[in-house]
Amino acid sequence: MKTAICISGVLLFISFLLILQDDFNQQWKQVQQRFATIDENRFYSADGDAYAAEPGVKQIVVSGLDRVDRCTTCHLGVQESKYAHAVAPFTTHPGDMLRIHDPKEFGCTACHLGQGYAVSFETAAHEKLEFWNETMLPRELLQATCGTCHLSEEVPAAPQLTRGRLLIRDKGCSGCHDLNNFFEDTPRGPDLEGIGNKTTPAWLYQWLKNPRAYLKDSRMPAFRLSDHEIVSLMEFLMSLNTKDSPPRLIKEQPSEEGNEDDGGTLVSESRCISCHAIHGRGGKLAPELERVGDKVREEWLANFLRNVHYYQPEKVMLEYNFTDRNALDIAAYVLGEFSEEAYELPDSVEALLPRSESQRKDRIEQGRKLMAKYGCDGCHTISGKRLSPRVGPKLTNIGSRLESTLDFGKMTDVVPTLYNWMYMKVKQPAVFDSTSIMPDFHLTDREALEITLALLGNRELEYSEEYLVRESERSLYRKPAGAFGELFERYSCISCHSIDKYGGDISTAPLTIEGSKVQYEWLKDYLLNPSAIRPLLAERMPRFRMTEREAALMADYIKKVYVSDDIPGFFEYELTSQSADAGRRLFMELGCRSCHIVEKTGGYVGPQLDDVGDRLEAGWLFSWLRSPLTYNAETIHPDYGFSEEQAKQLTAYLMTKRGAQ
Amino acid sequence: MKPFLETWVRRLTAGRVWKSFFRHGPVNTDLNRSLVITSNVALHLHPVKVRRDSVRFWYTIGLGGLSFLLFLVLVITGILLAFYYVPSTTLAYRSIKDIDNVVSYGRILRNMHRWAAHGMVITVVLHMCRVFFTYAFANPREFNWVIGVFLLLSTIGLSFTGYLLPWDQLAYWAITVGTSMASYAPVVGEKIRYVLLGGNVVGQGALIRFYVLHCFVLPAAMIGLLAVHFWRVRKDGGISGPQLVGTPERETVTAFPSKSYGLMAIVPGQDITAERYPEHYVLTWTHLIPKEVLATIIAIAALNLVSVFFNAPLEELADPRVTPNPAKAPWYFLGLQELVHYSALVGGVLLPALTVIGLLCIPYLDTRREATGVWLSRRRLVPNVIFGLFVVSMTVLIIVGTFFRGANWAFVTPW
Repeated sequence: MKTAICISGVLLFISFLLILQDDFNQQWKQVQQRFATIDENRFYSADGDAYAAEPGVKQIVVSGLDRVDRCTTCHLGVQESKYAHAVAPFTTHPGDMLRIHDPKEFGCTACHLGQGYAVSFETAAHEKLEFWNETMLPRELLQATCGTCHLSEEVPAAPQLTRGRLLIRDKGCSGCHDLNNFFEDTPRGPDLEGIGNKTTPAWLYQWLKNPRAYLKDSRMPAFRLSDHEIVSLMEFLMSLNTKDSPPRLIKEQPSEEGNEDDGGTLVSESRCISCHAIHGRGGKLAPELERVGDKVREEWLANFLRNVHYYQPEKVMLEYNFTDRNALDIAAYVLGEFSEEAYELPDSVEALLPRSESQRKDRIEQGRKLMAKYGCDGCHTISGKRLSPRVGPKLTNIGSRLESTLDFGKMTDVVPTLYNWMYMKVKQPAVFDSTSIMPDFHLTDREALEITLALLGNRELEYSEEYLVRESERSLYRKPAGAFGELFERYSCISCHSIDKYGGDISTAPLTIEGSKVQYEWLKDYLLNPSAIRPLLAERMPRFRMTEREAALMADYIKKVYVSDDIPGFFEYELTSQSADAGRRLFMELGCRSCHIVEKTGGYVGPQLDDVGDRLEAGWLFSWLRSPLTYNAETIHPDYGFSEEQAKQLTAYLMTKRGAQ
Repeated sequence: MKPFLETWVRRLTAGRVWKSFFRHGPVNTDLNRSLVITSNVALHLHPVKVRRDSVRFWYTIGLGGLSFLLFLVLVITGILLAFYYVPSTTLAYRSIKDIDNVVSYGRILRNMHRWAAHGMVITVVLHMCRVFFTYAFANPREFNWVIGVFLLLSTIGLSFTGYLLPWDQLAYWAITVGTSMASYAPVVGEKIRYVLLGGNVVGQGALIRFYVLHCFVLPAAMIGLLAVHFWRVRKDGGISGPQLVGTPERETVTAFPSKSYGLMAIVPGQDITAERYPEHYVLTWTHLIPKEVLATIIAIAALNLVSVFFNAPLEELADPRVTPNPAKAPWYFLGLQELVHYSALVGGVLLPALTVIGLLCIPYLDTRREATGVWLSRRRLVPNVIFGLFVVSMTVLIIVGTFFRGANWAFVTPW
């Protein structure tokens, strides 16, 4: 018995020794000892900061972000530049992010994730750690956490995040998923009422089968539909044919009346290519027209061109003042020119078509259900209405999803982190579950990464309000009032031009201070008959065929309302001929002609300036020359740092450039 | 050297402080020998002599003692953990993270507390089985069995209330499931759950209630019950054993003039059973205490080793919005949860109620008074088989519920 007690006593002693050494040999203690070998002044920082003065566990408590971060227990040099070339983990934090986000205020894990409580490499979740959800972000996804606090859509310092958010909006994710407000909830595709008049079953079949076969950049994702489902949807869509009485219904039969040659002239004159691409060239705002002749019915197209805003209540496309005749000509031209071969239903699908009226009714009913099931109405409303609530799960808190609840299906060789799951899911929606109804968006690796990154930041955490950045860079657009407002909408100005950063980016001329920039007469003429200002641009202002009265009204409004108080008015006597001569010399010395055409010679990069004196206001020219970046942050125009005198001389010179001369 | 040492020893032992600790003088007179016994705490928890049968390791397997040892470990580690733990839904999880990561020896302490708690549930149940299978609850020990049943309930109550305290997903959902089983009882079920949780869901109300029960109410009940339990063991003549055969006459004091335990002979009452059947009795100090010391050392060393190498679980912070699939009750309730899967009434109400009532009634129904103190006596085949079947089936159900049930409580294989 005594022996047994002695032996077990020794065992007990050893077990206590084990406990002692377990605490004594903690990783962070060893790391701090190693730090002492690279720097004799170990825990003393350059400014004698007491925080780093003693060895021991170091922590940053950030109550506003509900975090306690002990990362600096080992990462001892993050804030001190002298460790820029030290070995890990003592290296200085790269970049200047810590200057904007002081670790004392933000900690570490709010951005990097990982387990801030922990003081060893493994438990800090540098790599996937069981039961810890916030695995540290790899370098490629670091901008994800910016999105948790930066709630405005664009975050200039986080370009990947911004691109990801724009992609999420552009792909219409919010059609199916509840997302944060800044992913606007607008329908992405056209309203489907009247589609039965617009197109043919054969086109619908191949479109539903694979949108990219018709349009290689199609925004519509590919749903993995069976032929049965497609036939049902097709029948349902073809039954949506009630929208056939537009206000300016064309009475004539199209094919008899249309003149393709006149139509061709109208198409090029109207600058359709500014928004619609044809054979790969042209604008990206509107659908490509390469095979539109195989898609739309001629009479529908003619009626559409006469009644654009009737068919398109969101008014993206402008309302041209075409006559019946014009519309018929264009329709004839488009159907003749933009087509390859007519679509036909395969025989196997032909066999599925309903044979009787009751079968058709069943199909239509099934189609309606499928429409709701797949959430088609998330992007395509029917008479402005949705059939069902969003079909996808809510994603406002997806970044906090517990990793243990993720279903990786048969993919057992993936590290089970949330970002891996999300990346694979957006890239290939059926990867984990073949029955998933989420369609395939054909994302590139980079797009999938950026979307994953933007979604990862969607976390509903108990962060204090002072840490959240909400103000948006975009101001809200309000339709201008009165007669101008009506014209403004009719010609869909906002589709191409922006006002206060809201609106399209096709035009290089925002309207915000356009009234201070251009002269009244020029503007009026330009609205009536736009000419090319920048020879190199494919996107040009279309010819609206507006009346002189309309042009005068619009020019008048723009001159009075869209102005800036910062741009001075000029009196003619200030622009003397002496200063104009000095300006000319300066102009030639600086070699402005390498980009601008003056006196018939010069480059094509900038606008031609031979009639600039008719076009621009002297005050604008003066202000622009003084500080181009103020008026266009992305301009490539150099800022020469002109003195007031020099700018005045150049202005005087340029104002002499009049078309009449 | 030697005289010097002796002088100092004498000075030390003659001082007031020493004498306040040890009441007896040098062991050189009968009076002092008797004082050694009467002032020894171990020999007051135990009788001076115990039955030879009862100190055989394989008779008790030390399960009762082991349970008490684990309880002591739990009290000590629990007090230390309580220095750091904050019973608030916003701070509880964080304080556990602190204990695990930066409190000196905190991780080991928490591991010891966790593993000792699981161990105690197991040893208490096994102790009950031992008592049943040796028919140790027979008259006059019926009431101590009843106390034992309440001790079992207290143990499970302590474990269950402690389960919630880390406030992680495991804790939150185990308690959600565990308490929802209580609500299956007709009429009063929902009320019971409401009172237990201090609300309709597991929240701050539940956490503070469980904390108070875990740290104050149940330990106090446990200590009170333990005192009665131990005291009854002594009053019932030590732990049970087989019918004694031999010479039942009393020993006289003069028979062992040099043995101080003989002084016990002047005490009337059942305690002097020590004097009957002298050939069946052995000295506690030499036969029981060393075994207890050895068992204690081995148990603590084993607990230390387990606690160094195996960490107590701690999952993600509790999130009422995210239900794990499957959500499981603490392991000792998984047999019931398995039954709830088939019938909520059976698993949630009938079986637990019948188990407790049945256990309380056993000593008053099973009263044939034969084969006491004998393991698995053939003469007690029927009760042993019934009880054995009950224990085995509960064990099987717990194993199935623990290892063979996956998402949606579907059957899975753990390998």
